[in-house]
Amino acid sequence: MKKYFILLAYLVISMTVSAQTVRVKAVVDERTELLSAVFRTVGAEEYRNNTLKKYTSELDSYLLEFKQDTLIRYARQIRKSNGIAFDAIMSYAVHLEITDSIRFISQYKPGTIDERWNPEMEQHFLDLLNEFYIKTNFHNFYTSHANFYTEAEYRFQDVLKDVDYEWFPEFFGVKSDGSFSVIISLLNRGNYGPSILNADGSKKVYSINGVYRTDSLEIPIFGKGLEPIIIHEFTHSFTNHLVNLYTDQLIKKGKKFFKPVQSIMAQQAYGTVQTMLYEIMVRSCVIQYYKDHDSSMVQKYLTDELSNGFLWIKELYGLLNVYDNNRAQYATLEQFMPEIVKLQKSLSPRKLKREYEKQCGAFVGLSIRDGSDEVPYDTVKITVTFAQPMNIGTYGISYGKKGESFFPKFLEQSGWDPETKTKFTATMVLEPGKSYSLCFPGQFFLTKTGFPVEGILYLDFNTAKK
Amino acid sequence: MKKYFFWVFLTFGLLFSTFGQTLSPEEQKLYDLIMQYRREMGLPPIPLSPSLTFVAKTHAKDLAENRPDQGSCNAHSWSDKGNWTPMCYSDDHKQKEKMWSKPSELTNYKGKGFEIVTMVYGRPTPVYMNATMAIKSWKGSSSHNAVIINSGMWKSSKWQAIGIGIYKGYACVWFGEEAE
Repeated sequence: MKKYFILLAYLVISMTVSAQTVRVKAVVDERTELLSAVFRTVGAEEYRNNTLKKYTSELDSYLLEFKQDTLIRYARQIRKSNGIAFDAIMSYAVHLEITDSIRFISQYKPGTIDERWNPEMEQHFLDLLNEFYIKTNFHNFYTSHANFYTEAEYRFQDVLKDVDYEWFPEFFGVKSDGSFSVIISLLNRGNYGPSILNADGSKKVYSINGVYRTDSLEIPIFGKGLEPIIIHEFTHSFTNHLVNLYTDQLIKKGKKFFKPVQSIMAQQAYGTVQTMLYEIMVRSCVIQYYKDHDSSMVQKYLTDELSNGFLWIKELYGLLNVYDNNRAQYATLEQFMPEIVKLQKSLSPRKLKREYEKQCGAFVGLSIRDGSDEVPYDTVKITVTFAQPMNIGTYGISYGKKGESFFPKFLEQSGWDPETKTKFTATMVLEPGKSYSLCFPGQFFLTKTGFPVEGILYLDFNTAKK
Repeated sequence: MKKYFFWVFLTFGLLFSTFGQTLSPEEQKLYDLIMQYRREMGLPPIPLSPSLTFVAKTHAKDLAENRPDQGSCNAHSWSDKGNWTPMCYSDDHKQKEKMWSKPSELTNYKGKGFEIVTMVYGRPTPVYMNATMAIKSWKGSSSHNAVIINSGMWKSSKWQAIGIGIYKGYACVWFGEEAE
């Protein structure tokens, strides 16, 4: 009897553990390395990550004689004619399998490779890719670096250990075939989140990650900071198609949201309304993930995304709480999309922008006038006053309009008034009869709630002669 | 985002030759922002130079770690803590030839190098310069802006090479008229 109890307990424990633990191993994948190598040889900047100098130079040498291969020329052509670049390439790669030859995987639903591809192009590229793979004996290159890949894969594991993969199908209410794949891409400069839609409607999702840091032996280093990026990339697989389904209803107001933040978006390389829609959906869902796993990060992420120009992120996040609390009514996020459309239509971008600006800090005073002459020299204190209490742990001062030659020497005594938290005093040593030029960039001053100060406060002045 | 990037690169990217250089994501962003700004001004892209990038990265690190920009020496100065000739660059630009020759001293790049620098001082340490702030800083300074967009005394310069370096609070960009 006792034995049965032990056995039963063991079974219950193992089932519980296996239900909660999806084990994901990061791998260097031959398909993504091959496609990255092809487009690197084409000259595609986004696949020309040279962080791993030895590896990339070995690859470049290996493929040197194939620079004018038919495949390379064709890839260059479709890059130009159809925009086959960035994620379109990785989307194609994950739909392949390499066995005795390269072929499309059998179970995927046709037509789900990135929309920049068309069936004729997909097939022709595949034919040429097969020839290229044999001619170059790419597999030989790949296997000859197996130890290097293993080391990179081993180092990545620590990043993945706390990711909750079960959360995704639960939150989005979709069938998952349980397969989350993390790919380390040694040649590309970006991170991508492609997916495969299986014929049965389930999804296989990927997070493809570039390499940016290495140790002295040129083995990749991956920091814990990669976790939110992996969650972000996985989330793209669950939300992009929802945005696509409702683009016609989201785009009109989307344009109004895009216009006032266009320059902020451009700085993040988001050049279209559609991309901004993808991003706000992903980011609001990622914050939902953190609500469930580390709620202390929620406010920070909301503030950061608002500062990144996603003006209705708080409202969208709030609405997703409604979704999350009413799953009996909404089995999937797709079913909830009409509510998101309704919310977006009801919001005023102008009003939200004004509200955001109100939350941002503001410079309201400076103890000396810009352009002043006869400013005393020796040790001088200049005080900047802000409209509201600030985070007194941060500040930043940079070169002014005249550049590096006119920047004063600052003393350690620079700091905040701890009582009001609205006054920052910079203490500097000034010489007589000299011009000085500096600025207080708003992004280095944060309010108590974490919002940056708008703009840059410039200050030029001349000191009195001796 | 990817499509937008694609067109930017389609216009410029295929012209580049970037073998051997390594940019961090923030440095890459600064490069992209500078090229985007030049494009808005109707100017051609500048190919990324591995040599000038090496010089820019080396100098940004020297500035942040060794602070040669003290007293009468400004941020174009080099410390005595590396495999290079130390140099105190003063406001009278008497040392400009020593700046111009830094790329040939440190790399195989034979042309002259011209540098723009920016930095941020503050808390918590180290404060990190970022691409957005760096380009804002240079756009706000007419003399630096002129270097980037080939105006004023830089009008006749035809930049054929550029190097980017960001390290902690410092950002350095080097321009050259000779292609690499």
